[in-house]
Amino acid sequence: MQISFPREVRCNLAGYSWLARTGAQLEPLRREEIRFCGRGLSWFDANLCGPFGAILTACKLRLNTVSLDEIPAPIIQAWGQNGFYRHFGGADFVDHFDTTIGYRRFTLDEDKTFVRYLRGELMEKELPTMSRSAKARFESNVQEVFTNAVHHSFSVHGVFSCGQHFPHKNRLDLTLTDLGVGFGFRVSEFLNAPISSLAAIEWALEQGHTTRVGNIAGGLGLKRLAQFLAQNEGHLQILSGDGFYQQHGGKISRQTLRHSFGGSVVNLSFNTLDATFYSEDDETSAGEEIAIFG
Amino acid sequence: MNQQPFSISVYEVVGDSICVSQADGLRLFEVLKAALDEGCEVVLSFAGVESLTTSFLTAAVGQLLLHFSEDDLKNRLRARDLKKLHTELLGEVVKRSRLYYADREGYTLGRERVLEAA
Repeated sequence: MQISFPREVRCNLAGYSWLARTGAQLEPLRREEIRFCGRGLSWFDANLCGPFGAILTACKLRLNTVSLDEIPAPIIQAWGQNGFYRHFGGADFVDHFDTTIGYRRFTLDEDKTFVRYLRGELMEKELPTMSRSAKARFESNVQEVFTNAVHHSFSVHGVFSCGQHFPHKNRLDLTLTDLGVGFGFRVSEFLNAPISSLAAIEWALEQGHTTRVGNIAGGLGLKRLAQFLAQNEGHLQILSGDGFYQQHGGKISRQTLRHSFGGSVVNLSFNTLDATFYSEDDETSAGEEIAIFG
Repeated sequence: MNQQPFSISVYEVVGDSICVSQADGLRLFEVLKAALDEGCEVVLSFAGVESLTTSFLTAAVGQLLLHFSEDDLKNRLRARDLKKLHTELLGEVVKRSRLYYADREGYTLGRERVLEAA
């Protein structure tokens, strides 16, 4: 089977629709040879190696073989720099400009490894200027998104992460992908009523909403990152099932896609031109005791 | 008998300054619950903790409400050496856990609105 890339794969509706369609197309295949043809491909947002790699990994684990052919040299270079290409028959390239955030697959118990990855890869890049404490809060929020992906999705293939700094576009993107049950399934199951993927995404973005059930309530990271990105004039994009939700600054757009993505993608796209200094009080209450349930 | 509060170091229990996973939170929960079951007053020290998430705190502290009354916890469980961010995270966790355990079956804030929108 041959699959052609479109001319461009970007972090936009067309790009996410292509990913959803490709995932859906590959899902039923077993023991097939799948050839992706890159003839005519002129651009591939490198952070989308995360969801693309997730789709290809799942496809390979269903006993198919995958080849990436006729990929233009600049794209091969980008894929080699972030470590994606080595998983699909290619080689690594040196990232001379330090613009990549490596393609990584995390198993579901690698919370601490993910913190170290964040610190080593994302926090060293050109993020908006933050005080130590604001940085800690930011890091904690991204970590929560990862933890939510781990605990909400039941993704047997783990969580895929990849990012890219686009200096000419003043953008720094980090994309987390899981191949789990998606927001729609989990929220419907939790509410005991069917709701669309889009409504489920919006439900999850509401402060305090979580599908983590049993004795453990859920996390708030996504909501807080949405607030940060609104102030930063960055983008938050969420693809889950057939729902695509996008926030740019304070503006929100929603689309129901024709094909359903078998999991969820969260893209955090920071505006690196933002000159705001995000500051917070950094003091520690050493020795001072507080009643936790006071 | 006037007993000294029992001090528990989060850093010691987790064995790391990164306290982010639910599994580590559950480990701390077991230690806390055992001490509270013994009737101790407990002071939880966050000294040396760098990274903290609500997932960790919910697993460690939030679900104590399932086993102890809020009044009992208010009297016997304290925290110290908290950074401002961590105090806020703890506050959020307590607030949400209260809501959750007050109405576990129906912890579906905004449910009607969401179902209407679906």
